[in-house]
Amino acid sequence: MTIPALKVEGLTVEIARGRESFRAVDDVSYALEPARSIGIVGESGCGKSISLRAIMGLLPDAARVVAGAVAVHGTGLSLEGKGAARQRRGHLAMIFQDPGTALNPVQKVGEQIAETPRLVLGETRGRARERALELLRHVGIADPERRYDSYPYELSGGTRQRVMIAIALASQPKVLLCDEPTTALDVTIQAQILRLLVDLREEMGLSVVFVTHELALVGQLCEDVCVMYASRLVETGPTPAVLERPLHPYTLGLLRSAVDLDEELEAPKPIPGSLPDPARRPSGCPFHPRCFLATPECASTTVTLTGLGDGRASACLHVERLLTEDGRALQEAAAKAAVKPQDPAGTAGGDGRG
Amino acid sequence: MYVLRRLLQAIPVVLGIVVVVFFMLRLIPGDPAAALLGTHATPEAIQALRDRWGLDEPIWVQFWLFLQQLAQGDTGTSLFYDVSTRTLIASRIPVTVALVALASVFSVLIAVPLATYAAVRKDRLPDHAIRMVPLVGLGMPSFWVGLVLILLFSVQLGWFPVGGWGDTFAEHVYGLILPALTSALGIVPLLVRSLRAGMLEVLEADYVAVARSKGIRESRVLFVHVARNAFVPTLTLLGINIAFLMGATVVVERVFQLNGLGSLMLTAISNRDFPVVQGVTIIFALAVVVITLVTDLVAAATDPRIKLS
Repeated sequence: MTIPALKVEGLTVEIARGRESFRAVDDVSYALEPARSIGIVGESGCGKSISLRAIMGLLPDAARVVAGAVAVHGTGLSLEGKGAARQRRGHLAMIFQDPGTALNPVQKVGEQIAETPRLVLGETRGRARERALELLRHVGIADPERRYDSYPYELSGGTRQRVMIAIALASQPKVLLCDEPTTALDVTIQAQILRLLVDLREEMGLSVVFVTHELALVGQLCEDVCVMYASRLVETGPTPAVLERPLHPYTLGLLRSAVDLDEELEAPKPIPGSLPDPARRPSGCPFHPRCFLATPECASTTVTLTGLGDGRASACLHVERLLTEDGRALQEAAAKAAVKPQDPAGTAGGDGRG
Repeated sequence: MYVLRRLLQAIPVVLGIVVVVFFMLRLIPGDPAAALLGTHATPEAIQALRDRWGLDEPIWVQFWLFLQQLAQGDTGTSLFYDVSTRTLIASRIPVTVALVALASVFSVLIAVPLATYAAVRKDRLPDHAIRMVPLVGLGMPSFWVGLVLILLFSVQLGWFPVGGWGDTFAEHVYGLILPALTSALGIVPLLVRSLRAGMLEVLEADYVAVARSKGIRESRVLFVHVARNAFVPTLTLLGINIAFLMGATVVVERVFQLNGLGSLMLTAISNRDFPVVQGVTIIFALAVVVITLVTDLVAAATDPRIKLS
């Protein structure tokens, strides 16, 4: 068995809010094989971004890791303390969601890229500049000589995200963490940035963690997928198998709520209800108030991610039913039965995207 | 281009100030000459003053005369000292400039470290203490703070003079320490709170996380990425507060017996010496315009985005 490029075990993050604190990430474990990619999918607020920040050692002051371990190619990383982020150089790099806020507004973009080769890898000024130009070219920016001296406000969203990618690559990382790298961009630009990430990954043999709220993206990009709900992983497995036959009602709901452009256009079908406040998580299975399979036991029984063979796992009490019956049919039947005589406004509309 | 535009923008502001100061005198109900000379003035004295100020001329002629005087840096002859306001004001400027400058230095030296410490220790005891304690100071008027400082450091401990300006440069600085501290303490509470908020915004920004993720030293993250972004809002804030400091000098100079513009203003008001009041008002207003202009220009030199808007 190979050593995973990134191994996350039992990662648990607590966030203090006033006097109380809640678990934003609860017992999350996964392993990313070298040169492969894993997608982490869930609604906004489910804890997926904060889990990436915890891995990077970049948690905000109010958050702290209370349990868990992270290792890159077998080397354990410290999860707290001032030096935590520094320790990751050459191992991990992260691409942030919004390139509009992730670039220093008063520093030339070229210098922001050259900072890593010059100060971390110990190159000379001239050599660091060359390296930055090379990276700008590499991420598909035309006329890098001119762009080197640009400030972020002078660049388009897509170009800013390319610069962000160049900054991430400058430290020559082995694992790239992408936090919704296309969410803040125009649809046309999204495809270009995804293409770039796919190309870079193959070219450089990077291992990638791809956090998104769009299951469809994971289908295109990632060999494996983790579905996250209310701070926990609820289903994991190889992406094609999970998309083909989901083994958790939440995954089914995500798939059903996605707009399918191949089908005739109809109203999106959101999962009823909305993501619970992490500080007031429902007892038992946190998804039970919104679940079409829920039974009274679901509210009282603690569910954990249970292996089902073929690399798959699900945290559903009724996973047997999903294994033996057609989950999609069950879901449609439940949706039909739930249609109320009048509720045109759809008051219980969790939007599934956020 | 930006510099030119900013300079042009200052022109209407200055014109507005001149107009307001001009009408300050003319809008006094009744006859300004009679009002200024008081109830015991003879009709001859009142008429003499009316002639001197040209109050019998049409208003636009008066304004034109006023502008002509201003162009020579003058607002007329002081009624009390009988010298031109220009001479009078010029002799008082150094004291006030030195006081405001030293008070600005003190407020930066006090506020920036406190705000930084509070921001880094956010929501912990030092943060709460730094935000709360100075608020008590905010409730105390500066003449009272000045008197307390005099009682403590001059009368009790004898470290500083009770007041006055001295003769040598060293004496000037020595004599200005307590008054400058008094003025500075007046603006420190507000300064600390706004600076802390500004720094927190920068400290929690994504680009600071990105900078940390590069693996560069924390000191570089703080000095290059945080400080440069926190500098512009800090500077703008300081510019506004220096303007406020100038207002405070009126009281502080009196408490510490400094012969600056502030005490000149107070004396002129109680003597109904209107040309002097006009002159000092214009100087104060112009100083605020210039300080704002300079802060904006320095901000533009630091932040490339400012030239856009």
